[in-house]
This record gives sequence, C-alpha cells and structure tokens, in this order.
Amino acid sequence: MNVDWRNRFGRNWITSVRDQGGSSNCWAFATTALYEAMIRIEHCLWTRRSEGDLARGTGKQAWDFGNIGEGTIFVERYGLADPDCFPWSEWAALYTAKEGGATLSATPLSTTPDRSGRTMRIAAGATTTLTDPAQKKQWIDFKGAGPMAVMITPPADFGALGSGIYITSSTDTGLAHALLVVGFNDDERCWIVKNSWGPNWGVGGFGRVSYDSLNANGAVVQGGGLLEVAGFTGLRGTNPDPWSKRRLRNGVLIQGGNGALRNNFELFVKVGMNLEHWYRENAANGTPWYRVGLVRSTDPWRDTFHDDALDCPAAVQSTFNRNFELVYRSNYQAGDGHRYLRHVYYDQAGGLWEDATLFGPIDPVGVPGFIQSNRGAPGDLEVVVVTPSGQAEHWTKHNGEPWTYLPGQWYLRERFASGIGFGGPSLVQSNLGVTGSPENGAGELHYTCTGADGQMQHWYHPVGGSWSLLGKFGQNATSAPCMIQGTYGAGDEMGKGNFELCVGVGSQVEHWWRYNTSPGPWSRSAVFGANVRRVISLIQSTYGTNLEVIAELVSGQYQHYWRDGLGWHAGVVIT
Amino acid sequence: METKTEQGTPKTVGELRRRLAELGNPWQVHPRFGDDDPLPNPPRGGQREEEIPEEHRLKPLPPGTDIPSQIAAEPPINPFLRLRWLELGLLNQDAVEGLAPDSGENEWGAA
Repeated sequence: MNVDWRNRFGRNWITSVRDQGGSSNCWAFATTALYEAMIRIEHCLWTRRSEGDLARGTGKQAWDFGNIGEGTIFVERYGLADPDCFPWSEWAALYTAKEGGATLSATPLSTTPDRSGRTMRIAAGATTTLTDPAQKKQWIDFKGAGPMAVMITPPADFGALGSGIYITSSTDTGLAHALLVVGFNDDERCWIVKNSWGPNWGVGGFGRVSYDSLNANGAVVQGGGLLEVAGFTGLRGTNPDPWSKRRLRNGVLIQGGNGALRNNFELFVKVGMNLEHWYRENAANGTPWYRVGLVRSTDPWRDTFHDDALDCPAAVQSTFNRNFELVYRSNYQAGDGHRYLRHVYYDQAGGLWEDATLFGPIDPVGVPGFIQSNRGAPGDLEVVVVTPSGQAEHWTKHNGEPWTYLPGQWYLRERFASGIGFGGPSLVQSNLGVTGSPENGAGELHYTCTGADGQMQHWYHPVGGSWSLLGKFGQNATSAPCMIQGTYGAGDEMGKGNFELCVGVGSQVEHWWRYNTSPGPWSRSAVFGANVRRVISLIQSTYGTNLEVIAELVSGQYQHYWRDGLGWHAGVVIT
Repeated sequence: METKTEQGTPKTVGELRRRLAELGNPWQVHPRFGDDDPLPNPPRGGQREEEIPEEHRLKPLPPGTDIPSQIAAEPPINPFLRLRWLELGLLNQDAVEGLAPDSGENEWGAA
C-alpha cells in the first residue's frame, strides 16, 4: 500500500513548505501543517494558518521548546487564525489568546480585533494519537484520512538529508523535532514527511524516512526506524473560517460552518418584499432545504427593516464573528424621496438581525457586488453597484486602520464604466497581485457585468490604482454574471485559481472561466438549465470543489444547480 | 534537552558522505552542502516525552485497540475518500450516489 497526500486522487492536498528559521517552534509548524492539510482534505479548501498565532498564542516565544499537545489544546480553545490576523515572526510578542491575556495583547504585536471571526475551529477531542504502525497507516489512508503530526528525536545527520530514503546509521540522539507525516510507501518501506526547514531540505522540503534501521555493521535491520514507535497525532472535524472561503462565493448562497459536518449551505433570497433565510444541512445526500425565517429582527426595538426588499441580496460571512452581512436594494424611501442600498447583518453573538445603514447611489439597479476585502482588519466592506445611467459605482466602508474616511461610513470611491445593462454579484478580491503571506492588503479587485449590447465586461482595480477595462467576452447575455475565484488551476494555497462565472443567456445558463496562473482569455465551458431568468449565486463548495449555482427562474422561483465530474445537474427548486 | 552524541558522529558533510558511501549510500546528502561544511544543525524545538507537562501529553490508543467508533459513524465528505470507504466496504452504494468526484483541479476548469 502506498499513500502520498501530495499526489492523491490526482491532486495535491498539502500546503507549501515553510521555514521555522532560527526558532525552536517546530511543534507549531507541524501542528499548523496538520490543520491546513485537514481543512484541504475535509473541505477541499486551501487555507493558510499562522504558526505565529499558534506558538505565541500558547504563550511561547521563538526560543521556547514545545509540543504538539499544547498546540492542539490552544486550537481547541481559541481556534487558529491566518497570518494577516497574526503573522509568523521570530520576534518576541506579548500576545496571548488565553483568558486574562487581553491587557497583554494591547501591543503592536497583538492579533487583529476580528480574530474570533477568522479562526478555523476544532472540537475538543478531535485528535487521535496512535503508535501501532499498522493503525497509523490505516489512519493516513482512510480512517482519519489524512496526514499526522509526529515528534521524533532524529540523529545529527538528519539535517543533511537530500534525496534517498533516510535510515538511521547511528544511535546518537538529537533534540526532539516535530514533522508532518504526509504518506507512506510499503514498496520502499518508508514514511514520507514534510519538514519545516524550508525547501532546501530533502527534496523540496519533503523527505522519506525508512521503516528500518542499520546495525553497527551497516546491515539493514527490519523495523527500528525513526518513526516506527513514535506517536502519530491525527485530526478530524475541522471547521474552516469563512474568511478562507471569501473568494469562493458570491451572491445569495454561503457555505458556512454550521451543521454536523460544518458545511451547511445558508441561502438568503427575496420572497415577496421580504428576505428569507434558508439552509440545507449537508451531512447526507439529498437533504431538503429548510426555511429558517425572515431576515428581520425578533427584537421589536430593532425591527427597523422588513417588507422593503426590491431584489435579492448579496451575502457575505464576515470576520465580525462570522456574522452574515447582506446588502440589497431597499424600497424604503429616504427623506430625499429616493431609494438606496441597505446593509443589514446577523449578529451571531446576539442572535439578532441588525440594521446597519442605507447608502450607495440614488435608485441603484440590480444586485450589488459585495465583498469584505483584506484592506485593514476587520477588512473593508466593498460594494460595486450599477446606477440608473448605466455606470458602476464603487463604495467602501472602512472597518479598521488606516482610516482614509470616517470610520463606519460608506463613501463613494470611484465611478467607472458606462453602458452597463446588468450588474450582479460579481465583485471579487482575487489573490492576483498577492506575492506572499501575509497578504497585507494586496489582491486585485475584479468585477464583471453585462453591457447593454449583451457582451460581458471584465474590469479590474489594482491596489492603489483605479478601475480599468480588461476586455469584453461572450454575447447575448440577458442578465448579470456572477463570478468567483475558485481553486481550479491553483496547485496549493498560494496558487492563482481560475475565475469562474455563470450568466443567464436567454433562458439558460452559460458557464465561463479564465485561467489565472498566466491570465488568458475567457472560455465558455458549458450551457445548462432551462427557464432561467438570471444567476444570483455561484460558489465553489466543499463537495470536492463542485460548483453550485442558485438561479432565479422565469417563474420567480429559485433553483439549485451543481457541477461535479459528470457535468452540470439540475437540483431542486427551493422556493 | 541534553543531546547524546555517539563517538564518531561526523563533524563535516564530507565525513558524512564517506560514511554513507561505506554503507552503500542508502541516502544522499543534500547537494547544496560542500564536503568542508560542518554538519548542518537546523533548529528543532520539540520537547521530549518526559519533558512534556502531563496536561499537554497526547495519550495514544493502546496498539490493537479499535480506533474510536465515532470515526466510522462520520464518513468523510471528500468524495474521493467516500469512494475509498465504499471500496473498503465501510459505506454502502447509497451513501456515495450523487457524489461523483469533481473535475480535476489541474485542468483549466472545463467540465
């Protein structure tokens, strides 16, 4: 039996190799690598977590020795954040997520204030530790189904490994060191490990370690290898943060972290003049959609919005404690007699829908593009919406420093384009332009819309620049596109995934995509559906990276479509 | 955190290469090292089992014991792994229907 999670089922499941530098935090690197790999395997989602968050969160500095168990306990209690929340560094930091650590965290080396909304989570007891080699292989293959972290005491020559299968030829005992076991090869009798000594160790940062050992005469002795009796720790039940999924969704559908498998669909659609919240529990096949209720506060003192939806919303699950945030065209007539966009949000802590504000252009058109970007932390809220004159307006609300406008107030950043016929939930902050981790606000904004001539327009906005037209593609589109940046084409968490786009053409849906590793033209992939008025949501789900579409039908009902390896399928009509 | 070094542990990469050659070259030293380089000693940082506080110790399952039953009760959602469970008889056909694996991620996105 051979298993290698770097190339299993025809793809890579392991995040990029890191370098612990001069620190003594190997244990934080191995534990973080385990979480990243299991999120990728369990949710088909690339995510980058911060070794710094884990190491400093446990209260340890770069020079402190540690163990996998304390890292696990920390993540069970406080989750694990991304590098833009708290980066890896060898600098000393007073940060701690532990209780009573608040005063200590008020330093430049503290986490961002939205940490609770950008941490992946696990339940207590989610780990299993095994010492029996047969059980360890079973776990890596299918029982736990993923890599395992291990602490070993390799001899001094381990640091010199290049190619070949490392086998212990001496009995000297070095300091303890943590690794991630990403597979095994029974034909070659070795484990495959990911180290944290950068790509110049082993082959690209990975090594093979023999099951066996050498005796004093240099003869191979069965068993006795470095990893044979070591305890391997595996993990199940990861709950990724919505921030990691931000590029994979747009429109009315969100795949959040609720449900038995932490992957429920959450849907927000217009029914009559109200918005309704629906969900689908994804623990089993074919589960029905359920109506949660109206998007309306149950607190009579806060019941300021209802019966005012002119259109479906664009939904975001933000880093504000995983709150749901909606922006939609409101029928509410403001004091000046005009109608605007309304921003509402569901406070996960309080369990109430809250009215944020009215904003945007006078009498906007269509569904807005709505995202939380990575400028500042909590990241800015960004909206692109079409005006009655066929232009696009880009509005921003700062949620954190640097403040270039009043805190918490939406402001018009730029007006661009002309002759737009249809605008939709098609604003993406891509990772194009991102060169490393943390992202530090990098990432081009991209927006697509449909011109009055039926051609789609692709606009982009580099950091610090302004909007410009990249090109036009397609024809005869009769509604607005919905676009995401998926993971197709991305080899690991730093890869540039393709843009995917679905748009209504006549009464059907066209699926388009653009390769982003070396950007090329848009290509049409498929045509599907019937009686469709428009596409109001597209996400790449954790069902093996399937694509999921919510379409509004000519009848006014909403239908679910999805794409797997066999192509596009019509799902149920939801409401 | 004491390190015990066997007498004769190579001091340089060249010495290590010679020792590996005597053993039939079971593995190769990374080519970025020259023979005169001291044996690399990258930082580690793990605590040995006896140094780990009791509350941080991960208790291994005794060899041979069943891996907890909740794992069998919660099949993976990854469609490839569900097919692997089907192959091993851990799932029935009903549980994998409608879960065809997705298109390859290294393709250009076309279905």
